[in-house]
Amino acid sequence: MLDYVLAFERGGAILWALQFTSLRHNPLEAINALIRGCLLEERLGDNTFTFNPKSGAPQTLKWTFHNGLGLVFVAVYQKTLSLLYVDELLSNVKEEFVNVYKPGQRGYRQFDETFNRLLRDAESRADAAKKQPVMRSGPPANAKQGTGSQAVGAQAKKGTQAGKDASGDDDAGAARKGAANGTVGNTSDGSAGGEDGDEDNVRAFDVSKLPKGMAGRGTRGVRGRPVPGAGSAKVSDTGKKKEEAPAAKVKKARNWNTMLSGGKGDTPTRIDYTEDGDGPGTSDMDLISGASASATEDEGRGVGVSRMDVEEDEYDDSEFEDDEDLNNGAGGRGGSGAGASGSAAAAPKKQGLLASFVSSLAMNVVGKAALSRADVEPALAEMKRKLMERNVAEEIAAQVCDSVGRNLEGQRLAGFTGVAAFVRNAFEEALSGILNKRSVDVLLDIKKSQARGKPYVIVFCGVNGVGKSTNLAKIAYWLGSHNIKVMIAACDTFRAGAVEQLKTHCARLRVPLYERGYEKDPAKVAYEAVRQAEKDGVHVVLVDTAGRMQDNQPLMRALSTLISLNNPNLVLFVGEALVGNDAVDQLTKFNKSLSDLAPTTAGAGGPGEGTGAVGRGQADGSALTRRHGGVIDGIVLTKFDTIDEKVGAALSMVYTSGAPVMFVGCGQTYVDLKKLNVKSVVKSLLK
Amino acid sequence: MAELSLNSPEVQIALLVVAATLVLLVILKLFSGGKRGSAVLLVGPCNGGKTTLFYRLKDGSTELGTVASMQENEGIVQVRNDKDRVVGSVRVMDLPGHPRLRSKLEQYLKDASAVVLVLDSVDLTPNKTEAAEDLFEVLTHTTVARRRTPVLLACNKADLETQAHSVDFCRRTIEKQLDTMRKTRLALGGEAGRSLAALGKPDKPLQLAALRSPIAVCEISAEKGEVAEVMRFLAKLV
Repeated sequence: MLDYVLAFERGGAILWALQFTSLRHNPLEAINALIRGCLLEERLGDNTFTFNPKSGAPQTLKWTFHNGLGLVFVAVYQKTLSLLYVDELLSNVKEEFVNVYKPGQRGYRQFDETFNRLLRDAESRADAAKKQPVMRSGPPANAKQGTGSQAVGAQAKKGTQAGKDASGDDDAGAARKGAANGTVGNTSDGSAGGEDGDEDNVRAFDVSKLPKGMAGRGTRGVRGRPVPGAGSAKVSDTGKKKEEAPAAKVKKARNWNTMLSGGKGDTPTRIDYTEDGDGPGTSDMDLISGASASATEDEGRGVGVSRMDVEEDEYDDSEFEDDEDLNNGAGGRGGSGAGASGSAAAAPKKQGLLASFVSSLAMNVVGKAALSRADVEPALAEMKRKLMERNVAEEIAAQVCDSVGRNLEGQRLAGFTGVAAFVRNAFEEALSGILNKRSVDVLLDIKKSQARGKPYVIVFCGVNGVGKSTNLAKIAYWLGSHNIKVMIAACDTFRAGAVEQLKTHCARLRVPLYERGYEKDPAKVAYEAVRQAEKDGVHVVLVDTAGRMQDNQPLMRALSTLISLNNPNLVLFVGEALVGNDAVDQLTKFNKSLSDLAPTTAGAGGPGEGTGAVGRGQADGSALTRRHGGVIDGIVLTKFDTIDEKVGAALSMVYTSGAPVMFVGCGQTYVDLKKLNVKSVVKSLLK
Repeated sequence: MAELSLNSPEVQIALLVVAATLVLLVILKLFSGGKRGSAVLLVGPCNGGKTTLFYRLKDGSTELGTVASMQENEGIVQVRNDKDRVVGSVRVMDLPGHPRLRSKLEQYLKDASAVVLVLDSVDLTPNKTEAAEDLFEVLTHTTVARRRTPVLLACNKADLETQAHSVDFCRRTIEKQLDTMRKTRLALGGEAGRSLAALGKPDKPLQLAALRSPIAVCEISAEKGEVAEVMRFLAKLV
């Protein structure tokens, strides 16, 4: 039944392991995947983790922590079995093991017997529960959980309601999808027992949803919220447009030379219908007028050093504020600790000395035995509220708080710290860990493909109006300032003015533009652009695509065709910092659609496990490895200057997609591009 | 309340207690100060064998194997010389290789007395960028550059003879990576606070043995216990 059980320390040493069946692959692979994909990614709220070995059937992993001693217990079994007793068994094992555990000892052969006994008990209890007539209290899937563990049952309730849409996602890649997916592994698979009637209901329920997938939801979002009109309207629009294309008259390209000084061009008839002014209504206005009124081609170069290359000042004075808060928080505990809050700078040092003095004498003056869930609840709730205030998506805030809570349970407080300060520290670490992703060194990779003689292709995708073209131009400027030859491919063949916008940028940046006008197939345009770039010896090709809503299936399919046809080295998702809860939806759908709707079902959406070059069949084998199992390799966070403290969108996006934030757009001129400053973002989130 | 003067016994006792506490604190700080700030760090990409090496050095046992570390391991290693006599002990710290925990590297480098970069000689190529980045961070850290902290490049998993790359190959791969990185990072110019000079002059190709603080390369097998090179490296520190 069970394949493998093991107990190990957080530091990595395995203390005890028991293998029940011989597997073709190394069982430790599953454990490593669990650690890298789930435990270290602050996804402790998920109840299970699915692992797809290269050979063999998928396995499910369940785990439990003992935070006080820093131990982890994991049980691995075949995904097709739904074993109901695993959670209970794991907690029993945890209790028993703690009795036997001695720090520094490795190898607990004597525990085998205890474990076998516990296993037999758990199995017999589960069998007995199955034989009893099952109570239907709640959605049908709830009954299948048996009477085993309450937590799993409660999760199933949550799971089936939110799982209506998650049922289609029941594959490995979706294990990262979060709480809603917790028990889907159990509900949609058949299992033993006399609940065939329920099973049929549940299965019929699932099967009827499966083929529809995204299209079935159509204009509705994840939780049934109607997506603001754009979804269905867009679908019918593009449909009609494609039919009308041959009949419509050919669009004449607008000559922008009139905007730049000198040059002949058509005098613009009124194109801006706002009350105030006339002129192009795009954000380009600022770009053109921002530099100078009489913008010329020469202006493009002399605008200055891109903020990517400027080191930001670290703000040290804010540390004093933090310490004051810490002191106030710890005020209730340890008289001398709080009493030392005389001056902000001296206080932490004195606290440190006293704390170390006390702990070195092996005295724990204050501090409870171990933190229980109830102790940290109020602090967690406070943190969640704070995160949501800072524009973190509600789902993400809940998951992060849950995961941190699980990490904290059972830990001991140090001498003079209060619960609030302790929780805050844990959050700081967790958030820094989430945001501190290893990001691709773009310049290095470009140099590598330069050496191979192939152009480095970057594709920008995102929903409408987030700033793709503007930030594309900024990145082109930054690359140009490092003596890298750039070419821009105008694959937005839909939106009016897109090609002209890029023409203007290219004129100012003195960068070649590859465009084929409007109403052309973007994938082909991109393909030809890359070929042209190779001929011309251009180093980087920046591909601009049309904005599209994440629910719009035909457009997502078109985008995934573009990506699979051209094999870009980097796919950047452009998201604006103003987005709220929709960030999660956008990214998940983009990642999912791009992998699902690819023309050949190349496993681009496979589960990301550690390193290894999975993915879109890169012939040049660049150092880009698909670490996060999605198609999107990086995030560009735009309009960062419009938010002051509400930086939560960064967290939501990184958590959902697992991709790092590679660029941050913070203004509308060419130099307004910078790297994500993780420390300041975490500080703003926790302020 | 009675007049508080220096001659009254209460005040004298109070002063004595305060003085005694302070003396005690100072003594304790001195004692703990000896332990703090001199650890040998084991760094490197995931799955290189750092935790295995750590336990092999510490007590020579790797019975059941290891999984990916989620937090650092710390311990005291008894250093033996070639004649197998204990010549001293060093504190060794095994840092997790996962990128998420990479930020800890910065803070531990400040107190490092030596660094051992553990590489997987079998899976070298997919991990070479990460390994080179780690080495880059270590070498250009201001404290490391200033103190000329000794660095050892240990190519692990040498027991898998057919699959493991040779020491020379590992060294050359890392050198090439570092070379390219040096060029791009120099071009960026945003690396304030890092001593890029520690990597030598950019016009010559980078050679690990020719750096200001030379880096030795060796091959070990933590699984099989062939860690003599590392032991010799540690012996030099004691």
